[in-house]
This record gives sequence, structure tokens and C-alpha cells, in this order.
Amino acid sequence: MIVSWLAGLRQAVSSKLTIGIGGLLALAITSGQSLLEALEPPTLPVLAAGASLDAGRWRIALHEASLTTQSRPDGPPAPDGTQFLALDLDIVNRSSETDNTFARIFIVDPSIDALQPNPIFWLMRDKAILSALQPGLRERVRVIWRLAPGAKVPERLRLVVNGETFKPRDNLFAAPGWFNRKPIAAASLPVAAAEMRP
Amino acid sequence: MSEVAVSHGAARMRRLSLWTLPVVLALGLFLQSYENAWEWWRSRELFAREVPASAAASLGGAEWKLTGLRRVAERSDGRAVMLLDMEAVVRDPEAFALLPCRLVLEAPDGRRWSPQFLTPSEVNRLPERRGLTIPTCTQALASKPAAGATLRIGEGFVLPAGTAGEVRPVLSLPAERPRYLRFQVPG
Amino acid sequence: MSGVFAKLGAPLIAALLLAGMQRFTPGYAEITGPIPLKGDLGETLTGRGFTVRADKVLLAEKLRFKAYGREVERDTGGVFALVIARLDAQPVSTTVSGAIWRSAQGARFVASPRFQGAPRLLGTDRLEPGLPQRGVFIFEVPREAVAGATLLVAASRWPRLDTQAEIALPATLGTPASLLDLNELAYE
Repeated sequence: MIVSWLAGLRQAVSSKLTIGIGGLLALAITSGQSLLEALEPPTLPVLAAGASLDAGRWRIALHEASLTTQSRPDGPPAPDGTQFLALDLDIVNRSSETDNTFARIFIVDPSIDALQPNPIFWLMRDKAILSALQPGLRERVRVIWRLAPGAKVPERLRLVVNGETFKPRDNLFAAPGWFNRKPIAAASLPVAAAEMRP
Repeated sequence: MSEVAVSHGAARMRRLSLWTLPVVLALGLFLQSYENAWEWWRSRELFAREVPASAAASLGGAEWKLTGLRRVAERSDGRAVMLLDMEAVVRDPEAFALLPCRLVLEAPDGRRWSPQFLTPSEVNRLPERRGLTIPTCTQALASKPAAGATLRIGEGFVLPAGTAGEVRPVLSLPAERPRYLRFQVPG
Repeated sequence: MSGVFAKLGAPLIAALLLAGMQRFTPGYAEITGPIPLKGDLGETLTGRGFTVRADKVLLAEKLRFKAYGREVERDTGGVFALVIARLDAQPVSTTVSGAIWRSAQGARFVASPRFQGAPRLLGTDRLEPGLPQRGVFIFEVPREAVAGATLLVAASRWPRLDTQAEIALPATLGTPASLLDLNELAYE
């Protein structure tokens, strides 16, 4: 009788201890995580113009930003004098799938009010709208933003490049995919003045 | 434990639980898959109703009548272009407006051709169609007509010239699947 | 001895078993994935909604074609791989828009979208039963992705519980032609 009562007590104490230690451990880990996040350096590595950067799903090299009067790479100047901001870059699709998510590669940060959203990505090889990047083939791409009429033209374009990591099995469908998009580098490009073309 | 005698009532309870288990499992499966099974049932075409030539039949809130199935052109590569004309008198506008409409041509061997957009030059060859825009089945359903309205519906098909003589129009609407209509072609 | 085993061995075995199951049970995407239909060049494969036969593979560095009255020339950083094939719908009208060049290394190249308006491009127009289409699938791939590739053909890019024809392509292909004209290819 006494023996079984003692055994029961031992079990109760040990289970309470386990729960307590587990809870403390969880608390320590989460506070450690938030502390680490708070400590994370706010400055991203600097990406120089022309240097190539491995961003997991993509490898990119930013070349130059310039003002232009053309809405497309081979088009005539816009008749109403609208200006455009063009960014030249190289993109390699490093994944194993044909891909069209290139609009996620970078964001303009801080955002510039003069730039109208949803720029168009042009494939310079075809002077046509880029619709897909084939794996392992480097392409020269021009991104063209329309500038709001009468807006102040930015002098510099600061871009934050996003990286993604590959997961062979995701948590929901156990299918391979690219996840955890986060900023990995920043570049600041001078905006060259509009070329005067006859 | 095993030597401990079990009372008569407890044994009965256990047996009962064991026998209820399959019933509960079946019920669980049914509740889980009920919606999927129902959706599957409503998306199938299982029971055909044969509509005699030049007769009307009701389906999905309207009276449907085949008014013409003609071969209007034959392309050089052995393709025939066919035009199908139907007439629908709306009885129940709510059921009638359920999309999409599935209007196809069916050969005796089960092959089916879906409607195609035809170039105006192919359609306008018919004198009575000149200058007319006849809605397709889905367009007619989407126009949400009132009860009593009579709609003219036209669809174009491209199919092998050899099968053009033996195909029959088949109409199925989401409101009444798995029942559907198969029209007899006059002549 | 048996006490120690019960305390340490059983949880260990359970952990190993669980890890193994987590690692090797097929995932949802695999269970509900494409249903493969394997074949060779020149063989007619009959899937659930279509039949396909690939006849020939051609390589080119440049392609030329007429689209909407304009002469277009396309070049590439890799090489263009063309597969001359025949598609037929069976038994109902359908579109076969999931053609993929799978390299020996496993990379998947979707048919190039750079050829809109090109003649006899497969996968763009709807197929009607009894009216087979003979034409070409065009892929743009790096040179190292050419040898020992597989052509995948399905109704969509990600078929779910549906046929995906897997056609083994030749292990070696000749040197690419410097320029091919799509309007002058022998499709028949």
C-alpha cells in the first residue's frame, strides 16, 4: 500500500518537473529568438553595380539605372513626354524549373513616389516582355517603371535584393519548393540622365 | 489483469462497443466524403434522355429544341465545320442561369467535340445569319433572361468530315446533372 | 538486461521507425501527382485524354519564323531543342499545354513562350478528336541539358492524377544547326 503510494508520488513529482522544465526551456528559446531578431544588424551587405550575387533561387547582377523617354527597349519616345526609369540587370534562374516569379527578386526601398507600381520586365534578347526564365540561362533584362507626370526625378535608386531557400519537402504537401524570402543585400545605383536621341 | 473476472454487464458493454465501431467508422467516412461524393454525382453525365427529332424537352429550367444541325463548310484538310441551332424557352430563370453550359456533339463511338469560335466568314455564309449575332449557350445562360423568354442559341464545331453525318447534339446543365439530353437529328 | 532494453531500446526503435516513415513515405504531392506513361521516340502513347507520338529531335542555335506578317529571328544563350510530334485528342476535345523538357540532371524546361505566332506550334490550339495535329514543341535549354533528356507531355504543367507521357529522347544528338526556319521544317 505504502509502496504504491510512494511510486505514485514519485511519478507525480517527476511529471510536474518535466512540464516545468519543458515550459522554462520553451520560454528561454522564444525569448532568445526574439532577442536575436532584435539584435540583427539593420544594415544589409552592399551589392556593387555589376557584381553578381547568389540569391538562392536567382543569381543577379545589377548594372545601371537611367532615365529614358522610351516605354519599351526598342520603341520610339513616348509622344506625351512621359519619362521612364530603366534598370538593366542580368538574371540567372538557379532553380530546376522554368520560372516567372522574377518580380519578387528586388524591391525599391525606400520606395519612390514618382515610380508607378508594377514595372514591366523586358527580355533584351527579344526586346519583348519577359514571360519566363529557363533554368541556367543568363538573360539581360530591363525593368521599366513609368514615372508619374511632373514628379521629381529620383537621383539614386536603392534596391533591396531578396533571397529564397530551397526546401526539398515543404510542411504541407511534402513537395519541393522555394521558401523564406528575405532581404539579403542592398544596392544603391545612381540614376543616369536621359539620353538625347534624335 | 487477465485473470480478473469481468462482470456480465461490462462484457456486454464491451461487445456492444466493438460492434458499434464499424458503424461509427462508416458514418465518419460518409460525413467526411459526403460533399465530394455529391459533387462527383452532380458533375457526371449518367442518365441520357433521348429527345425525338423536332420535339422539345425540358432541362435545367427551360424547354430545349433542336432547330438545326448543318454542315456549312469543308476545309481542304478534311475538317468539316458544323453549325448547331437550338431554341430555349425559359421556364425557371433561376435554374436556367446556372453556369456553365455543356453543349457538345457526340459520335456513336463516344467521341465528343466541344464548340469552337468560328471566324465570321465561315458563319456568315448562311443567308439567314448575315448580320446576326446569335449567342452561344453559355452566353445565353449568362444573360439571365426572364421567364417565358425564347432564346435562339448557336454554336460552331470543327470535326472530321467523315463523322459529320453521324454526330448528335448532347446538352447537359449543372442544374440537372447527372441527367442530360441527347437530341435526335431530323432527316 | 530486458529492463534496460525496455527503457532505452524501445524509444530508440520507435524514434528510428518514425524518422524512417517521415523520410520515406511518399508525400501528398507524390501520391496525387502525375501518372507516368513511358515510351520511346516514334511510339504512339495513349493517355487518358490524348495520344502523343514524338518523331524527331532537332537542335538549332537560331530559329526564324513568320508571325503576324513579320519575320522574327530568335537566338539563345543555350540551344533550341525542337521535338517534332503528333497530338490527338481522345475521346473529347482537349488542350495539351504541359510540354516539358526534363534534362538528365532533372531540370524541367517548359516549352518556350518566345514563339507566339510561330507556325504549327503544338500545345497552343485545342485538339479535336480525329483531327490530329502535327507540329513542334520548342524548348530553350543550356547545352549540357541536351543529352539524355526526357520529353514530358501532359494536359497541364502540373498534372494531378492525370496522364503524363514520358518519352525518352536520344542520349546523343548531333551538333546544332546554326539556323532553322520554322516555316520550312518537314513536319510530316
